[in-house]
Order: sequence, then structure tokens, then C-alpha cells
Amino acid sequence: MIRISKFLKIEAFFVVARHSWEQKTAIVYFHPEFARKSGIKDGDIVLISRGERSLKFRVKLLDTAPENGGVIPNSIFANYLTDFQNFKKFSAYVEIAEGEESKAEDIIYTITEKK
Amino acid sequence: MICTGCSCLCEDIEILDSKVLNACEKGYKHISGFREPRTRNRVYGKEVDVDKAIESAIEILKSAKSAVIYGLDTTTLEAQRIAVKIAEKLQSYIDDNSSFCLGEFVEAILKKRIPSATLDEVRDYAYVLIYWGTNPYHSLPRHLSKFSYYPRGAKRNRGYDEDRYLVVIDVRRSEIAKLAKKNAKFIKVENDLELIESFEKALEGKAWKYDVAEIVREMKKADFNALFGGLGLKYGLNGNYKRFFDFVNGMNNFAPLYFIPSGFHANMRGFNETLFEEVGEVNKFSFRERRSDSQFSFSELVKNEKVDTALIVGTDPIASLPFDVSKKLLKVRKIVIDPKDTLTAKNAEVTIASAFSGIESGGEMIRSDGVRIKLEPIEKAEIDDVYILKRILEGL
Repeated sequence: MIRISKFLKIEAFFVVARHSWEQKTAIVYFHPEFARKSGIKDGDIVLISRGERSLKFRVKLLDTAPENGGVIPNSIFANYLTDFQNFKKFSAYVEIAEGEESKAEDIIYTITEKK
Repeated sequence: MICTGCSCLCEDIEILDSKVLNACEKGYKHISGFREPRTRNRVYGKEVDVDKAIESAIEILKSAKSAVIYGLDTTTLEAQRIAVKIAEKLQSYIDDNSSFCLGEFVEAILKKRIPSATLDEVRDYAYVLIYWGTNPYHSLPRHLSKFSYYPRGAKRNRGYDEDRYLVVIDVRRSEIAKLAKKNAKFIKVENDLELIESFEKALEGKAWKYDVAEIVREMKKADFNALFGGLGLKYGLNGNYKRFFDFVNGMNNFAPLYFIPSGFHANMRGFNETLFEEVGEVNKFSFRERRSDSQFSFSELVKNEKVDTALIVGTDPIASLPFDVSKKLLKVRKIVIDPKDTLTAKNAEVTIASAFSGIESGGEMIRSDGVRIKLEPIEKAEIDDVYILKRILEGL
């Protein structure tokens, strides 16, 4: 069955916050209501894009996330998408993607290529 | 032992038959996971012994045109003092994570611009507890249970549902915001400056954008209230620190309100105090120009290509700073002193394997409220930050 939400690109609000147990993997915690409205399910892979930069994250659901988006734990993955003007919160686009979540090494490779 | 997992520096941790007792999840992971994965002594990717790694670090620092010493928030006061001496000897820059974290708040406390208190005083006396832009559930997991909301204190002995009034201010309903039910209030903030204005209007008996009249009423009842400010507050203020400090001081004309920074690494406040004792500034300091300036923060120096060499101690800027800093940092020669094989360590020209402060190495740290804590390591490593930094200083 085709998932219509697969073709949607949705604007979302993200908070970057310290999270005790998730810093080494690219995880985004979406608010369950936001996920439901956006057709995103627990365990999905999503592409989050901000400006020219984008990364793939594994989705988990968390009711302490902002209602119009999600929480990304403070990590290289969050910081790849931020700048100091938007260090703790930012808006970005979300779309359902294929494959696996991004790895820290992918970011280092990208940074090295662009340095 | 003392847990160095965060700036609470919990002193009641016990190790019994290799089991870590009393620690929160964060502290448990910090203590029990210290053996792996560790970094190795490396020079340009090749494994070497510690002497060779230190010698290479000295050579690189000697040849630096412009160097910065950075990090130091997870190490001891003793190591921080040596790092300051290295920066002075090199006439270099020195900075820590507080320049993009809570440094402005610690500076205001040390320069006596806002009143502060200890967490022990909070436990004994505080009635209204305001958590503004911070979620200790993850950043300082035992903050509420050891110091603020839950414990019964000398003058607060009837339990949290009667003797504490909890206020949580955040952009989302965080884990601690969910606690704000009875004798409590959650404010979902969109604009921190408008919230400050709402408090000030409430003091005049006027209603404004945010309904804070009840909070002000409760504060006026007490002789001790505490405000814990985190990174959400810092970035929400958008540089308007004076506005916030004026607000805290203004509130004190009506009800005692003490500010304590909430968040950060185990000894970030220690770095601020160490540098303050030496030069009268808390961070982003240039020894060449003998002053502190925002352009001397590690991020600005790297972004603006003002440094060619960085001595990085116990922190991982490639992972923790935004992309535009990280990509420039890869062009800078990096000497990393760290027990962990961080992304920065993996991409450094020289990596020197050190010990975990507080677990394998002793010394002192300063808690988020300014209280000095003597560490009680469970092991004693021969090579720790003090040893490495001392040898670098001697070599220079």
C-alpha cells in the first residue's frame, strides 16, 4: 500500500536539548500528535533539511516533544543542522525517507569534503 | 565517591562489588562506562607512547603563530590552573564551553551583579522554585531530588506539595513541566523578554501577555525563592542579559530571589572561577591583549580563522559546535587531551590519552552553585590531565 505521507514535505519546529541516553545515534523524538498528523510512525527514517544541509534520523515518539515538531538530542547530528542564532531551536523540513539513519562519520566526511 | 557526570557533583555515590549505587542513569553510565572506549596516544594517526605524544604537542605549540587553549570543563581546578599558565606563557587565547553555554550568568554572579545562593540553602529555605529554559530531568537528573523540589529542608519540612511552589518555563511541556500540577505552574514561553515584562507588570498589579500574577503572589509570601536558568533562557534572551539581570534585581525589591545557573559540565563553573581568580574574567580571554571579548571565544576564533593551533582538553567541539565552526576546526592543528576517543580526538594531529577526573584522578571541582568539592577517585592513574599539562608547560 502506498503511504501518501511519503511524498509530503512538512515544516516542523525542533528543540535541541540534552538527552541523557541518546547522543551517538541520529534520533529525533516527535510529539505523537505531530507524528500522527504528518503520517510519520515510530521507527520511520526521516530526512530533516535546513537550508542546504540535511540528515536522516530514526523516529521515536515522545510526549514531551514540542507539539508542532520534535526534540533532537544535543549531538553532532543536531549541531550539523544548527548555527548559533538557532542553537537551541529551529525550523526545518521533514520528509519520510528510505534507508538508515545518518552516521557521525558521514558528517565528518561531508565536513572534510566542504572544508 | 563524587560523581563527575554533571555539575551536581553528587557526593553520595558508592561502589559496592563493582556496582554503582545511588547514581542517576547519567551518572551510572559516566562511572560504569569509563573503561571503554578509550583513546590512544597518537601523532598524525600513528600510535605512539605518551612521551612522544607530549613532545609532539610541545613542538606544535612552540611553532604556533596563534594558539587557543579550549575545553577544561571536565577536568580539575588543578589542571585548569596549569592550562591558564600555558595560555599565559604562549600569550594565547583561553576559553571553555561556557562562552556558548552559561558563562554570562556565572560572570554576573562572580561580579556580584545578581544575588545567588548555594543548593544547600535552596534545599533548606526555598519556597518558589523557577526552572527557566532548563530540563534537569536530563541535564542534572538529581537536582530536584537532592537539592530543590523533593527534599525536606530545615525550614521546608512539610513536603513538596505544601512547602514548595514549582514553576517551569519552557518552549515545550518537558519532563519536569509535567510535574507542575498542584502548587505549581507551567508557562509555555514563546518570547522570554515578554515574559520578563509580564513579571514586571504583575508586580504593578497589571495583567500582560503571560499570566504570572499567582507566581508573584507566592514569591511575596516567602523569604527565599530560587531561579534556575538554563540554555533555553540564555538563547531566549538573545543577548539581552542586562534586561534579565535588572529583572532579577528588581524582583528582589519585592521578594528575595536567588539565581543559580542550571546545566553544564561538571567543572564549568570551576573554569570560570579559576580564570576569574587569575585575570578577573570568566572566559574568552586573550593573554596577548589582556582582555576578554566575544571575538576571542573559541567559536569566533575558529570561524574567523584567527588561530592555527588548538589545545583541547576534555571536550569534543567537532560534535558539540555548529557546522560552520566544525568545518573550520578541521583546518586547525588540534592537540587533544582526553580519556575518550571523541570525534575531535579522532581528527586531531596529536591525541594524548588521559584519565577520567574524579574516577581515576583526584583534585577539586566547583559545583554549579559555587561550592568546592574534593574528588574521591576510585582508582589512581599515573597519567592524568595535571601530569600532561604540567609536562607541556615545562616543555614550553
